[in-house]
Amino acid sequence: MEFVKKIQQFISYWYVRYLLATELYMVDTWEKVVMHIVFGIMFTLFWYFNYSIIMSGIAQLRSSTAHDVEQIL
Amino acid sequence: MATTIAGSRNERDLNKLDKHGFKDLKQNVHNGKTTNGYMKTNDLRNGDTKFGLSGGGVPKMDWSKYDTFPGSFEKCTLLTAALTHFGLYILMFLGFVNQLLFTPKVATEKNREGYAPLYDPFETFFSRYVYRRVQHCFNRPITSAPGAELTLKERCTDDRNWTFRFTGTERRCINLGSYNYLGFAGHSTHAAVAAAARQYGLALCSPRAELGTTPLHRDLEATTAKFLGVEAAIVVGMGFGTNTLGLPGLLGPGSLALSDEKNHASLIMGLRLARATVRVFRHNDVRHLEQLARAAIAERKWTKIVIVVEGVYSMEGTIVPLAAMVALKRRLGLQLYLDEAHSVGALGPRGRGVCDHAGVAPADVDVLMGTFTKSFGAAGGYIAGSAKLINWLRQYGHAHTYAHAMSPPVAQQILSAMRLLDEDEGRQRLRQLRDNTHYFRDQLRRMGVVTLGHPDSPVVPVLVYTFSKMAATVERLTESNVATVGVGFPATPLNKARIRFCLSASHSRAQLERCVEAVARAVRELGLDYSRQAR
Repeated sequence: MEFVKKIQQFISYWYVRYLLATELYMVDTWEKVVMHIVFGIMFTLFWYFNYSIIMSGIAQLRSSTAHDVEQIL
Repeated sequence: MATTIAGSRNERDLNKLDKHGFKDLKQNVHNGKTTNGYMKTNDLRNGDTKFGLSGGGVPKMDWSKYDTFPGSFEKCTLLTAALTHFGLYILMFLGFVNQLLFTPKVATEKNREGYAPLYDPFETFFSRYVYRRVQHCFNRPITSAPGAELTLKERCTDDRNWTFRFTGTERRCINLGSYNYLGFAGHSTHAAVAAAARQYGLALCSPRAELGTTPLHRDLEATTAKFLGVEAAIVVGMGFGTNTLGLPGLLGPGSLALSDEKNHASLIMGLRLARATVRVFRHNDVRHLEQLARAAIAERKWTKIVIVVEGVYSMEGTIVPLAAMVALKRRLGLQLYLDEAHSVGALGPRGRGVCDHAGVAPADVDVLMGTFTKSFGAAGGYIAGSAKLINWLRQYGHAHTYAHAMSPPVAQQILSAMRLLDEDEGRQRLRQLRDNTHYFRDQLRRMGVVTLGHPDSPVVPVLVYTFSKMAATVERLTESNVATVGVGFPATPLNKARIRFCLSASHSRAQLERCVEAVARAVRELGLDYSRQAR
């Protein structure tokens, strides 16, 4: 029980810090929800971009020989 | 080092004593009379000096000889700056979405085709969608005297801060928000004040120049002049009006004002009313000031050049480097207008303000302006200086001729407070204020928050950067029974919101310890420890 409470405290502390850092602390609830969703979408797009473009690019580089790299560059 | 004083035609060696026995031109003595140090020149182009961009034959100031400490301004990290800007963009974005979807009734102007909009679009937008959200931290009504403690009347809102209603409860808080530096607000000079009210009434219903001068006013003017160590003084019933009505009497379209960028609204308004040309120098930056002054002299078209500064800046907590400014104005033959609204009574070993603090003779400052609203717990302001200046102001400053005379009980309160300052109790209060200031600033530094300004300044701004943090801090402190003031745009730049603590001689150490504890809790919870200096 004590452990769960501590985790709850930890989460609520950092949630308030997140709200303060993004100025969401003082806006209405629906505006908070909108911004959470916007942040969520942005994060997902970043993740997908990194996953699909950057990761595959790096994988290609890793599997290629020095001669290939010269050609790619 | 032989040199020429600007425009005065008399060469002399500054290392030798002059014929009056003064070494560094510390006081100007002419015909056995002490003057204010400014020597009027008939013509700046006096033949034996060539004015170029460097200001003629006058050597450049060697600033290493003077205390030019502008106040501590710790820079924030790039991350903090980026987050603050990012937060502002989010606020603006949400505000625009809000305005688009739910336009409030106050935002629609009807039947105004063909007219310009009534309100400035950015400022109304700001007040609706940024200020309104944190409005519960401002304009809070109180129901007691603002002494060491005050009583807040609590409010709540049902419609997201568009309107408020009183809950009917009150909260007793330690007062860290009022400019009650010496603790004279709610002090027991009341018997004398009541006697003055009985004798003269509350209002004189007349300006000073007509039937509004009582012996109390004359006494107050003489006491103020003696208190400050100058020839004469004029008192005005309103502190803000002292600047806005006094400056147009002194300056005109041909004069140039070199104004500090953080100057108070009353000074800015006074300068605009005077139609003087204003050039702004960076806050407390004497080098920039020298550059502007020399360039202005080289233009050869100004009837006078006046430096306009404040003693203690209320939003920054900084103190003007007065000794350096006086040295500069002497060398270049400028004039100095000093607004001591926050410093008179609160600074210096004898409470004489920033002159006392910096060790400058009061006669070296041409115009000493100050208010009675802060340290003296009263109302109104004064302008002090040479007798000639004060007579001029009585004639040409609008306050004496057109504004209502100072209320007699108010004059009596100032007199009582000013006299008390020269007694043991007053000196005790000064010491207490200084101790409280040092203690509080020291504790804040240990917490790791960014405090601005001079170590001796009783105004202690703490930077929190964002509006949310400002609101959250004020909320947390109110919950811990500490009443203080958050300041944001337009009083500060958009990304430099701050909490301002004002210390008072009436705070006991136990009260301050409670405040420090409350502030420390808020700092821990909200993450306000931005400082990267040694703790």
